[in-house]
Amino acid sequence: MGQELLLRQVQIFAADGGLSAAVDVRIADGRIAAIGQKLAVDGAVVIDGAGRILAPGFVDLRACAREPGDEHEEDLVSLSDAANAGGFTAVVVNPDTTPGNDDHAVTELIRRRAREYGHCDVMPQGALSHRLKGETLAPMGEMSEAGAVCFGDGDRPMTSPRLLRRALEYARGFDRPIFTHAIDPDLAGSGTIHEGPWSTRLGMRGIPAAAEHVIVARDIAVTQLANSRLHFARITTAKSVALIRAAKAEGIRVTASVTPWHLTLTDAAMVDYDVNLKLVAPLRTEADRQALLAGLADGTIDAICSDHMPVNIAGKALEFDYAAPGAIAIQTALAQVLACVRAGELPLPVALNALTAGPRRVLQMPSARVETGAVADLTLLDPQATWTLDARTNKSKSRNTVLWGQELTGRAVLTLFHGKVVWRA
Amino acid sequence: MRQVLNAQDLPADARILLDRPAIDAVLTQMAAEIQAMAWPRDVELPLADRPRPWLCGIQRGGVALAKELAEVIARDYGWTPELGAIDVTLYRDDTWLKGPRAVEGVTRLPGDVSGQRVLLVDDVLFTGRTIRAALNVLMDFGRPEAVRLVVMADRGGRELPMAADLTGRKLDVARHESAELCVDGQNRLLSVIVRPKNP
Amino acid sequence: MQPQVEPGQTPGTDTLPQAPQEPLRHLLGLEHLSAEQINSILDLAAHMKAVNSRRIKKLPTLRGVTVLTFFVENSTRTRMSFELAAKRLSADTMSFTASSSSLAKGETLIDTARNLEAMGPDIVIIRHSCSGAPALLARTVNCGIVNAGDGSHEHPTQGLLDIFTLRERLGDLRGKKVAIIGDIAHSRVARSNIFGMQKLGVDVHVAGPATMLPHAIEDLGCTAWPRVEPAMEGADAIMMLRIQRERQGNDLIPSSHEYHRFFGLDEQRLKLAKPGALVMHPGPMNRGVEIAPEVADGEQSVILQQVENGVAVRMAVLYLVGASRGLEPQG
Repeated sequence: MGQELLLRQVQIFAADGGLSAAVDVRIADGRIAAIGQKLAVDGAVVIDGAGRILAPGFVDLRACAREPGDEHEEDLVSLSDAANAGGFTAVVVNPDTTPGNDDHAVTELIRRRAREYGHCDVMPQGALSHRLKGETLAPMGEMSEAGAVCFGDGDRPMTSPRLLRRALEYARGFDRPIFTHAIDPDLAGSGTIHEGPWSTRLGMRGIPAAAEHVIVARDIAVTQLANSRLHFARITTAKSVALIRAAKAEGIRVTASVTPWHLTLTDAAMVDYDVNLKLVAPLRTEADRQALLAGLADGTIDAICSDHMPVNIAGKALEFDYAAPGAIAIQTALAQVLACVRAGELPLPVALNALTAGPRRVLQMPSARVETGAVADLTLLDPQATWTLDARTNKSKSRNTVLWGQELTGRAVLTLFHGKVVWRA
Repeated sequence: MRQVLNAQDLPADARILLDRPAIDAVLTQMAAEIQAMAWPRDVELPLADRPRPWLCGIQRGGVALAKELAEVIARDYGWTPELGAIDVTLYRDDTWLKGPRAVEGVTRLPGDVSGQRVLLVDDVLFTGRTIRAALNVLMDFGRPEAVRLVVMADRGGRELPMAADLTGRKLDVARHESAELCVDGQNRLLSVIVRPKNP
Repeated sequence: MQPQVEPGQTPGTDTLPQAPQEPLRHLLGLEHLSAEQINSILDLAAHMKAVNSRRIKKLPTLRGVTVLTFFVENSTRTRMSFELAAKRLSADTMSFTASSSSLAKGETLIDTARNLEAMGPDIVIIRHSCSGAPALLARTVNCGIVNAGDGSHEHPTQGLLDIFTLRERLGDLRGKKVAIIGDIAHSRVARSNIFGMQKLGVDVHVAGPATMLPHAIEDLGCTAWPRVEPAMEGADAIMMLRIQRERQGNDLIPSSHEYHRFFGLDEQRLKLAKPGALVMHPGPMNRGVEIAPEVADGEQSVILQQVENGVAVRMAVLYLVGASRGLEPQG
């Protein structure tokens, strides 16, 4: 196969949470060929790993590829590139494309396009319902065969608990989890930011925290009823964390992820009406942020997802109320999470676990280990490296993020997909 | 205009050009000249029908000066001029260079200015720009019969073609210096000083 | 009632304001202005008001300045008040309203703003149904931006004219109690007044049905009541907010009839306030809903004085923003 690599003196992140002493790692034929001290060069390209950490490739449970339909904002190639630059080697992509991924033909198209490029394992989330309308079940069996790893209606709220129950039950036969965006659209109304002192000060319509956790509570009950697996794709409130913690203690099979935005920012950041902070799941309070960090630390929250949502300038050069929600984040997620680590808010192993083992567990993928013989889907990260997201470094086709132009600390310096170098800083 | 409530309020680098006794002498002399002043329609009107001029001070030093001039006229000539006040802040020509300013004081005239004789009163005449602005303020209230300019001190340095009809004293002040009227807590005239301009 | 204050003099102080004035690049809201800034705007407005009683109601101050009224939400009277203010300062005015605009054709606000900017206005007065639109404009175009009301956020000139009217009648506002009654949640007038009045030491009470009181309103420093009586009790002034017709029959209030019975200002409730308390309303009024006609027309009402003061306050704001432009590096 391709060029052999020798990573010199890297610290390996072990699945149990520790960092190894510095070792050499040899990559050959798409796999880890050897781990040890003073490995011979033997014709391999040598990469210095001093001060760097070698981890299994990151897995993102939630990103929008915008393909098919809105390739001017992103496509599977640019998403793969942005993911690789962010340290990710596998990404779950949302079904709310145009057309939506509610059919095996679309699932196959996404899989084929990503495979042809071959830089990232793009794993489609199949739609839960036909046309994502929340009325009748989509053909989950055929989509599973075509490569869908989970089902959900993307950002659309599940208004029918009856349909959710049927989906959870039906998905059990194909061993797939259901992903939901927990929000009660009736209670959320036309809100755009968290309902609290800031929405009052800024005169913005609020989304109460209760609009999320009434659905979290409901969906936990429905999951128990259906005896199936459900993933809260993005939770934002302290109460949601508490509900999920209690449900897990009871043995109910729910999992959850959180975005880097909710770990690092609060609704106080809305003070400038920055449309790039208009998110589908709004930024909440400092108490909520602390609860999310605690939930990650105690394992209540399983994963950090980027919630990458590329939006064209035409969707953002608008009044806050009219702007499309979402922010690109797949390339900056690691730096954002490392900011929490540097601030002492999150232990490094917890952060890396939530990007590697956690999301794999949600999808019941085999756990990835950096060990001899393993497939070389790897990320070499430098927690101290500084860089700036700008027109030169950005891999996404969109630039909707408040981090644009800011200096960030921590990045993936090398990403390998099946042993191939797909990103090198 | 500078309010000097006690001796320490006077800047250390100030030089007194006119003290209160000198001001008293100037006021007496100015009152006499005002009394003797000729107006354009004097020949058409019998003495009894000639309107008495208003004293309109330019905020803020001119207002203090007009008030004391009126007192001297009342004392020496037995009639009390009507007093007006004019603020030129919103008529300045350097708004675009210097940005917004707070208005110094009110603009208030004793009645309808049309047909009136007006003595525009200012403390120190310098570039002439304030006088230009004050004339425009006056015209926005109506059409006076005639306007005369009365100043206590002329320090030279004109930038516009303005000349006083009546000057109390000519002062020798360099361009890099500023001449200021000082008043006490009741806005009574104390002195005219000269000092280096604020940088 | 006689004005107790000399034009241009801040109540509670005995010195005249000091020149030069602090520049005001934009007026986006009252939240970020200091008490000194608010007072200096009102002092200036007092001088402007004197101009409005002259025979020649015009100042040369903004000659050569172009003022654009950019109204993406209709409000004829606010636009007229601003245009009159601009004209009295000798500015050139143009107006752009959403109905005749290209906004309807899918052009973004920023595109429209850049097009308007290309015509070279010095000051853009914006009214918009979305909170934060003036802030967006201020970041986008190189003009002085004056907020003429954005969504449920702020309406700073209305707040200033209300405070001006209060100051004119009550003098020093420290310790005075003002009740603001109505749909606080959706009112930009309420927010500007809460921010502005409190800076001058007013004890602000807001009241209305709890459906109209926004979350954590007391975090802004005011006292909130779900019934109007405790807010009105002993008040020096009562400000009634307009109840939007479109809000009736949705989930905020059962009916305008019920609203009037429990939350409207009638002669009986007015007796709860201090004798001679001022009755205010930002207009337009719904007589018989939030305010009884006899109260609106009663001798305690200063509603028309508010309108008159609006022109003077807007002149002061336009002068400050316009003159502050002179300090900007010109491109």
